[in-house]
Amino acid sequence: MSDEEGLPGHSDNEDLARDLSLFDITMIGVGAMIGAGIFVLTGLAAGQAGPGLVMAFAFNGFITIFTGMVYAELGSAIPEAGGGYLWVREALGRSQAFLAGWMSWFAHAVAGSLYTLGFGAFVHLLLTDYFGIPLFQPINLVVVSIGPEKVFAAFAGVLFAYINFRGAKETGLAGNIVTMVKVTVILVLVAFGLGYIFGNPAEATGRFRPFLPRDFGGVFIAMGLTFIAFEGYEIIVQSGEEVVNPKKSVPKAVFYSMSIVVTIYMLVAIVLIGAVTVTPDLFQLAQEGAAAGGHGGGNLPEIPSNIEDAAVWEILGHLGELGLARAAGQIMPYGTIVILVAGIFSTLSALNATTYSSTRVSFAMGRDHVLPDAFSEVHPEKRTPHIATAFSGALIIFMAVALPIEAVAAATDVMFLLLFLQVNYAAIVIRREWGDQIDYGYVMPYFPYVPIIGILTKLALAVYLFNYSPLAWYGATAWILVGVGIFFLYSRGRVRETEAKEETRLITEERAPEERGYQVLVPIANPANAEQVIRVASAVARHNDGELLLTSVATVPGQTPLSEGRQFADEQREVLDEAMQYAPDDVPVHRTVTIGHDIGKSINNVAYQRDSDLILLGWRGQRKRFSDYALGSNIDIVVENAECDVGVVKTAEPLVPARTLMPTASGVNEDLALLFASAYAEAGSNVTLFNVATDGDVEEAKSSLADKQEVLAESDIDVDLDVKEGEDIAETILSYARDEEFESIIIGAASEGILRRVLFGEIPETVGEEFEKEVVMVRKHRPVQSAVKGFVRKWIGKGARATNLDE
Amino acid sequence: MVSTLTIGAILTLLAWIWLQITVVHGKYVVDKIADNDYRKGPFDRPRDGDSHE
Repeated sequence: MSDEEGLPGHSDNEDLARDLSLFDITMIGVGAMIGAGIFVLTGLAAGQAGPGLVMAFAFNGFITIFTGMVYAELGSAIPEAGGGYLWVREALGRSQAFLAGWMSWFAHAVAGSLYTLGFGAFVHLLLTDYFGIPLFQPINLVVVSIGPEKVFAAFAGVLFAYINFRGAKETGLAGNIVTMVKVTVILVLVAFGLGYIFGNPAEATGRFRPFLPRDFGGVFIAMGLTFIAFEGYEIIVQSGEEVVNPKKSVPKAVFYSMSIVVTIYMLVAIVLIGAVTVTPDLFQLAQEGAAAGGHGGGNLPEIPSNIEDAAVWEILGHLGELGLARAAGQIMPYGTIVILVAGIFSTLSALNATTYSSTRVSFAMGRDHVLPDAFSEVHPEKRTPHIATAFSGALIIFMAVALPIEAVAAATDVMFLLLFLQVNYAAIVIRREWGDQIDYGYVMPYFPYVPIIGILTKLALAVYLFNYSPLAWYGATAWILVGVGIFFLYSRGRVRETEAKEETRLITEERAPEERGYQVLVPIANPANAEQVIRVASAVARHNDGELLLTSVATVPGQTPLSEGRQFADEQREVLDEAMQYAPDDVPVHRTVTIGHDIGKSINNVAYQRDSDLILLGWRGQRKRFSDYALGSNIDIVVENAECDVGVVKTAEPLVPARTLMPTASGVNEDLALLFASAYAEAGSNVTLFNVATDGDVEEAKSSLADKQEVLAESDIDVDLDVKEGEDIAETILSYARDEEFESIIIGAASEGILRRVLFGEIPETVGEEFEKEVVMVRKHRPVQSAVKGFVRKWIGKGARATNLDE
Repeated sequence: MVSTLTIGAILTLLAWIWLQITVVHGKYVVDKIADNDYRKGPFDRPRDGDSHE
């Protein structure tokens, strides 16, 4: 997240040329929506819904406008390349955003691949059937068969990648022409069809009966099948940075394009059902299609053996992607060839829009450093993201030519639906968190019910798609898993670096001449604690032949840019200077002063950036029983999120403890506690390993302690041991420590607390609170567990900012 | 008894009308906000320093 500006004034460095008008981006949206959807999917959808196809399109418009309103609101407020990806990033954090962008990029690219293949098929049919031009037979290359269709498809992919490289204005101009041509053709077709219907009302009406031959289930399947045709707003908002007056233009374009497209789809459906007769030719073609099992015709009803019993919607279903073109031959003169030509324009237009949007998503991800930086490069002359365009174009062409695109394409609907789920949720978070600061150009009514309805309807449709095509879900899941793999192997580290840089800024740094491998980070906030914490840290560093890094964090409120915090730097530097009097001579000590919005996060960021092995914090010793925090907000945030070992020193009198007690219990934290105990022993303290035998088996407990004693003895560290019986572990430790006059207790985290209030476990925290002298609580870093925990925490709703709590 | 076709046609028409109302309302809201004359949602109180394009 851009910390300097926050969401309300979000901005990035790379500017794109701003030269698209409201008309241009409305045409981009219309072009994307009247693409392969109407030319390829209409026939197939008719086979599922019957005459209810009209209703399916209307219902798709009905449910899609809920998310359309969300896109209009966010597109007007944050008009930047990236669209849904960007908003999810701002509201829900970068890990969710990566998946949103990953799904969005591939969904658009796969859609683009489909359009290139649609283009190839239409051109192939046109050249061979209508112009009689002989073309070469498909060539088998190992696992791929390259036919003329794929050559045409690759040509289209290259052409539109180049057009997108040339710039938004050229993109818009080419797209506008194509879109206007195909809309005109469709309107002419509709006019002829309506003319027939009004001329033969009884016959036409009869074709709409029964209206729902496959019940509402067929309507829902048709909705799922054609949903890809209604996601034009995702493409419109991608152009936010290239639009003149985006606050007005983007939301209006979303609404206008939806209104135009849904109306056109409904009219086409009315004409297709009402104005087409089942002729012997159509019947035969449909029978051939059904016999070949082509046209993606799974789940379609069988064609009746008798032509009199066949309804037009059944025939259209089996004609598949050629359904509209074949039917058009009946509706208007030269209908088939006109629709084929329009289909060619249409798939090119849709290809243009999807190339454009997939490029912009990958550009935004490159700008966020979750994809390689090259994706964010802008061509110096064309002002277009040329590398992102090249990669997106290559992806589109590669998938069109080399992969079984039908199988992969089935997942695009699911991915769009999942993306829209995230975007709806992000809209709620953004309005709640920043609603009063954002300069909206449009706000949706009935907030938050509109995005909630958007979530529920999209979820229902996505789940229903599983019934129709489990393959769609398997494909989507596979893509998502690949994305998760890339995120953890590549992007996560870069996300962390970016977050650390944005959340925390280094002001000054003074390095000791000598550097050592093991580093203990000591945040200094309270000078009164400094002596004791530095003494403990020095002992551990010395034992590990390491060094100290003292840091002090100046904080500024969330709304204030970090650069404003420099005025507090001198104060923090003085705190460090004062602490340096306690620094030992034999351990190198470095110093840094940093600025951040949140102390806890900043400490973890410094530890991450400096690759610290241990963070050692001072604690005043008062647990906050009635707050959300166990030991204090800053300590809690550090302990919960640290990417290294953590120790918390309950401060007492600043003296070297003559006697130290280390209660033991097997567990991952014991090794770290033993490291501290060894360091104390080396510093001259008399260390006693101690165990509370709750089961009464004192001998076994002693034997276990003796093993540890032996291991330490091998490193010339002598410790005592003792065991006491007791039922209450914390109380037994405390009474033993008091009776034997111990001055320090070192205790490892007993268990992972399920409750947020328990960081180290109830026993260590009780001992820490109640023991009058020094207590050191330690917790070992477990990378896998921390990563999973952090990931789950973000996905259950704690976004990037949700933990940004001031003291 | 009302036929499925009639019910379907009514539902279809209602869905389409809902869409068109949303579109018209959307244009109205955009224009009102641009004129600094919208007072609902986040705009329910005057906002200093608003700059609408």
